[in-house]
Amino acid sequence: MLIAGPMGSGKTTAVQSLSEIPVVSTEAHNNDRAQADKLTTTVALDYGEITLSPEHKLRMYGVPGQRRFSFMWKILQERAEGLLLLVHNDAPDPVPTVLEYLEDFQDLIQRGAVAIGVTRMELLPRPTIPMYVEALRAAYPNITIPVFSVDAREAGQLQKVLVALVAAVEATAMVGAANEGARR
Amino acid sequence: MNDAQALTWGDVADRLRSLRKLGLPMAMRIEARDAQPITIHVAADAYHWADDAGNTPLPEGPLQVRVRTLGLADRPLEVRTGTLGALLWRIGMVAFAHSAAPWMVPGERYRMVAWPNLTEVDATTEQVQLCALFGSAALDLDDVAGAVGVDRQVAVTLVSTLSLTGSIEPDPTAPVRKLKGGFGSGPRSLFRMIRERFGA
Amino acid sequence: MKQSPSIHLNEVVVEAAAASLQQLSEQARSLKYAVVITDDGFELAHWPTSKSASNTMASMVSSIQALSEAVARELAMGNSKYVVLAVDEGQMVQLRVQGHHIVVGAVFDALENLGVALRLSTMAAESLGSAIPTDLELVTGEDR
Repeated sequence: MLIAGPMGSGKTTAVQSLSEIPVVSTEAHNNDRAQADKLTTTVALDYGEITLSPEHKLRMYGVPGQRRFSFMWKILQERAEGLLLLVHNDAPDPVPTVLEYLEDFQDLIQRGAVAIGVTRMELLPRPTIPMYVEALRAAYPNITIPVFSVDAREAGQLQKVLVALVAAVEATAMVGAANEGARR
Repeated sequence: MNDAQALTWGDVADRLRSLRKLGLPMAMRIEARDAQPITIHVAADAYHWADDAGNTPLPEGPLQVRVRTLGLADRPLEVRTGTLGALLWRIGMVAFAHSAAPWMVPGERYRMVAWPNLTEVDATTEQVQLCALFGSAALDLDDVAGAVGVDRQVAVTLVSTLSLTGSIEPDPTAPVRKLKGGFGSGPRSLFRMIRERFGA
Repeated sequence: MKQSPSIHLNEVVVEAAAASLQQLSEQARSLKYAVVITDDGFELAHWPTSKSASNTMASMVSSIQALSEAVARELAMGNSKYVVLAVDEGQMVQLRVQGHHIVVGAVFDALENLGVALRLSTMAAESLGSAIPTDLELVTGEDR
């Protein structure tokens, strides 16, 4: 599973919250304090794991948020089952930012494999979730993309989002199979 | 809209739905015996209820409802207990626990256009599965209930509640799709594995 | 100690980076491209200067450096010394400027001996490290 989104949206924190293993991170000194006032930033990926069964693991990859690392997004989404796109509500223009980031993940969108997590809503409650939903409906009228408020530090919340995301992927596949059955 | 006495949560749901459709800056105050009043500012997507700890059961009826239009002199809710969507979910689960919403059309196919905010509402795993299916296509209630393996009323309650929040719409023109059962239960289902892992 | 939070905007460091790459190009005719970047993928200098800066190259060098250092950490085998990427038409060598949030990346053609490429790249990184004023940046273990 990919976790993507703009710098400072909580991607590294989310991977750390969910992962059973210590996260393998690729943090570098941040020279762009104007974009996010933090000491370090991810420049390749954050890697975490959740064991699902003796034979299956869910691998989580937090990708860098800056667009200059978009080649990593391309590399990692090729094998992704799903994408959690995080955006922080106190960012400038978070709704257009979500739409902009989604342009790089069209294949996952079509597979019903994208969920949006809006972080830091406790600091700034607007835009509201319905505002995000309205914008997404306008951009993707035939796809219902889940949007949830989420605290990237809270594993329980992230797990709920993960369950919903995976449910959406399997539902899309199930409906696709029904469509195929109807066509034959 | 007149104030009224001795209402049920079903009545309140009906009035709230009408208010939301109006799209005007309206406030509704719901009063019940032995409970603090619930104040809803419809257009602000917010409510205030002093008793609420997030999952406090809604007070029992009979309920009294007062509705008024907010003017320029009215201040926004000083304390937001939560978002309106979260409260509407709880109202819907109570109001439609045993029956369909009065505006539902039997035999209709429904498409969910917005997910409930699952980090704010207490949804079961089956409800998440139902949402996922209704979010993928316009589907028949019985078909979806069968695919998830729940009683029809579970799907009726969910769809009624989602219609209260404006999150689901009928689509009579949608093609008929027949789902196979066993959603999220196959041996290789990632959903089944995640569900078991998180105890969902 | 003076703090320099945005190294790639510091004229002294940028000039030193350009000078080290110019020197490298004079020592290695096989050099095809070279870049000096910050840890997080901002370019300080590139060679040949006639080519426009490649943001992608800077970002990829940054990612590769970070990944290599992560692998070294996970293996508990000390620090990453350098990374070599050998391809049909040559090789890329990259390594950190010790004590700084700066990485040197150099691309050599296929005729160059790998040992020579490594030695020259290491010398470029060391000379750049020496040229950065000691009071410009404080890099502590905690900071790393």
